[in-house]
Formats: sequence, structure tokens, C-alpha cells
Amino acid sequence: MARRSLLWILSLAALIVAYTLVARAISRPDVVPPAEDIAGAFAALLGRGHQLPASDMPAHHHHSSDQVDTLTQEGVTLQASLAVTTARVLFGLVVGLPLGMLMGLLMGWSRRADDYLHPIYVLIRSVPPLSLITYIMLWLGHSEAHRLIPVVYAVAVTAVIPTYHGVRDVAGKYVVAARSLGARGRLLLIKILLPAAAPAVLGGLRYSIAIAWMTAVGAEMLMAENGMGNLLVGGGMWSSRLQTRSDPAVIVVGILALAAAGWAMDMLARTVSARLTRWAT
Amino acid sequence: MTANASPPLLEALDVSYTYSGLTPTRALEDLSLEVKENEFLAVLGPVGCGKTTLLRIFAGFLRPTKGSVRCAGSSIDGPGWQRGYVLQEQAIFPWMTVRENLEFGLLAKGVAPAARRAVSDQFLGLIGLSEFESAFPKELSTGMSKMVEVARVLATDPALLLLDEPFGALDAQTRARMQDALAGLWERRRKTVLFVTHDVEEALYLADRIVVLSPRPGKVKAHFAVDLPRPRSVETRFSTGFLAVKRKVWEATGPGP
Repeated sequence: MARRSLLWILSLAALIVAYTLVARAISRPDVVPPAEDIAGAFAALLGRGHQLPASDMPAHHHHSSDQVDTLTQEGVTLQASLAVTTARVLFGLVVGLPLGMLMGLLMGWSRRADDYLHPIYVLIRSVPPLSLITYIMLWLGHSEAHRLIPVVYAVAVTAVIPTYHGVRDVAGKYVVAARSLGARGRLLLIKILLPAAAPAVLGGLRYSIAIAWMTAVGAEMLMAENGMGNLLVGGGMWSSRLQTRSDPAVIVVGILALAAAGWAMDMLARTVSARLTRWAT
Repeated sequence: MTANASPPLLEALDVSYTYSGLTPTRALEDLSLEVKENEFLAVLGPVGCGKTTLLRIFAGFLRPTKGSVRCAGSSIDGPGWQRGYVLQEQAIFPWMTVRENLEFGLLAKGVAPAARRAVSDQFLGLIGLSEFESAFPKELSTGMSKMVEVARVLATDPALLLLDEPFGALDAQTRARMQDALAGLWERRRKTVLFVTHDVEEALYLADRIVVLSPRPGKVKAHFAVDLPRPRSVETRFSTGFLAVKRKVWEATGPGP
């Protein structure tokens, strides 16, 4: 275990060194910011930038830019932004997964429900989640709704098909066996149908998580004054965004933070899945 | 024996079944058969003769297109534990332990935990899997999984056992072992059994009577009584009586006229 963490640190260090060398060679700080700029932006975005005693640090190590200034003025920090986006992603998963699973369950269980619901499903699943934003604003004005609903929608639509196949293609023989043993109703649902579909559903969960992050950040980039999407586009609303010059270091920090958060949540999902389906492997 | 006098436990009367679809398939045609109480009947037929369709009708998952099926005098509508059905595919519940599998039918019946445990203890012993009580099925061989499925059905104490080629996917040696295990189980807890297979020797070794079906659409082509003494053993398989019936059945199952 210690060996593996050492390798981890080594490969990360190697990556940073390689990046620094490439950034030097390319010498285009406007698109490939130097590693120390990224570290500086990271510190500034954690809300620590201004605390650095200026006298101890060479001037260029104190990272400052148009975007960082705007964000700092608005009191935006990386951790708060990440927390807000994570909350939206979790809300999308908690509300969207049961909705999608219910639809998949119905379609997989009943041929008639499938006949009615499948065409509707195919129609709605091709609607890009972000295209809903303006319509939701027509109904509910500028509110949290148009950031949350697209995420819920994207998660639900993604969760339908794995559940559908889990129930329809995998559970069939177990349901026949269980009904022959006298099982009906809730027992059949809880002890047979859901466990039989679990591996497929949990496999789909990883896609749902990825799509939830994409949608949440997208929605924030378009219409939100907080969250990671807002941080990436430099804070404020449209008018001020156009006047803020983007800082490549901030954008790289944002992307890295999103990658790390997505990775962590996927890890968590895999651990939970493995725990829940220990019987399968 | 007064077997002839007692009414049949299970009967099919002029049963036809056609799968609807773009090209409707006639699986069974005017098939009639009876299974008497405590009888072990083997239904023998080539692959695709509608054997599984017949079992699914008896199990209550399919309704005959024509004709009727009755169990203990009343018409069959829908599945139920009284007719325990073991599928051809592996259908042991992989997310339950061996013991939970054995107890599932009793759980569905609403039997109390202590009573369930007593029954599962008994069956774990009968199939020799006491050490595996809390193992998941992935740790069992295909043959042992199948025995758990058979025992799982027996645990609910059904009136009738419907077995669909339970040992079809096994190698010859394991198959013979499982046949002995099933025969042993059956001799200890007499049950009415309808056993579907395409293996003549298996049918002879296990059954009291054999019904031969014709290729699709399936109908009854011949009947044979298997009057071999029980308990049967390896000796049975090579006895002259066994070979004599085997020849007759073999000739009947050969290419038809």
C-alpha cells in the first residue's frame, strides 16, 4: 500500500515537471499557464492568496489577474464553488435516479408499459438537458430550478436504459423461479427484481454521475452566480463576464478540480457497487 | 398398487399451443397425458419438441391455445408453489446464500424464521451442503447449484415437481452423480414428478414411466412402463431389464415414419 502511494506521488510529480517543461518550451502563458501560475491561482481561489506576506515572496509568485480579482471581489472560492456544484449533482442523483429507475422498471416489467412509454422515452431522451434552461426560466423565473431540473432530467434519462435491461433481460428467469415458489408483489420486487437488476443499475450509475457533473457545470456556466461553472466563466452575469479577461490559470484549476471531484465520486460509486454486489464477482 | 384407480394428479387434455408472432409456431398439438400421484414420469423428446412449453403450461406461465390442463382436479391458472418448477436455465438466486435460497419459498409462504431454519437444515443435510449454508452460489458447481434449485422447490412441500432438463448442461459423470442424488431425494420424500429430458438413459434410470413426444408440433408418440426395482444403482444401468426397455424406447425415439 505504501509502495502504491509512493508511486502515486512520483507519477504526479513527474507530470508536474513534464508540464512545466512543455509550458516553458511552448512559451504561451495565455493558453498554457506555467505551473507556478496554476499553483498561485489555486491558492488565490482557496481564499489564501491575499494572506501571503508579500515581502517574503518574489512578486511574480503572487498570482493576480482580472478573473481572480473579479472572483475574489464577489467572494467566490474554489471550495465553496465545488461544494455548490457537488450539492447540485447530489440533488440530481437523489431525485433523478429513482425517477429513471421507476420508468426503467415499469418498461422492463410490463410489455404494455413498454409499448406506451418507449416511444415517449426515445423522444425525450434526445432533448439536450441544457436546452431546458430558458423554458424553465419562462415558468419559474431566475431561480435554482433551472440549475437543478436539467441535472435531474439528465440523470433520470440516463438511468432508464440500464434498469430496463436489468429487469427485462436479466431478471426474467429469476422472476419465473420466484413466482413458482409462491412469491408475489413486494417480496418479488424487493428480493428478486431489484437485486437481479442491481449490477446493471449500478453500472449505469457511473454514467449518471458523469452526466450529472457535465450538466450541472454547463447549467452554471450559462445561468448561475455560483458553482464551478460560474468560477470557470469568471463570475458575475453575462454583461460582466464579457468584460472580464479569462485567466488560463483559473480555468486549469477549475478543470482539475472538476476532474478530481468526478474521480472521487466515481471511486465512491464503484466501492458502493462492489459492496452491494459482492455476490456477483 | 391401486395406482390405476386413483385419479391423476396432473392432466393435460388435447392441449395445443401456438406461439403467436410474424411466423406463428405450433409447439404442441392435441397432446394428452396424465401423471398419477407419487409417480415419476419422464417426458422424452428431441430438442425443440415443445417439452419446455408443456412444462411452462403446467407451471402456469402459459395458457394452452386449445385444450385444458388440470392439477388435483382444478384448472391451472397462473403459477403457484403447489407446482414447483425447476427451470432449464440456472435460476438459483445468486444474491442469496445457499440457505436463503432454500428458505425463499417458505419466506413467500410466510413461515416463521425458526420453522424455515428447521426445513433448510434438513435439506442442507439431504443434499450434503451443510458446510456451504452461508456461501453464495458462485462458490458452487453447476451440478450442486441445480440440486439446490431442486431442494428449494421441495422445501415448500409442493404437490408436484416439474423439472426441465435439470442436468442437461452437465458432463456425463456429474450428471450420473446428480441423477443418483435426485433418485435418493425422491425415494426418501416421494413426490409426483414430471421430468423433461432428451436423454433416454436418464429417463430410464429415474422414471416409473416414460412418455415419448414427437418432433414439433409435439404430441404423445409412445408410452413405456419402466418396471425396474428401486433403489436403482450402477447395476441397474447394466441390467438386462434396463437394456431391454432401452432398446424399445430407442426404437420409438428414432426417426419416425
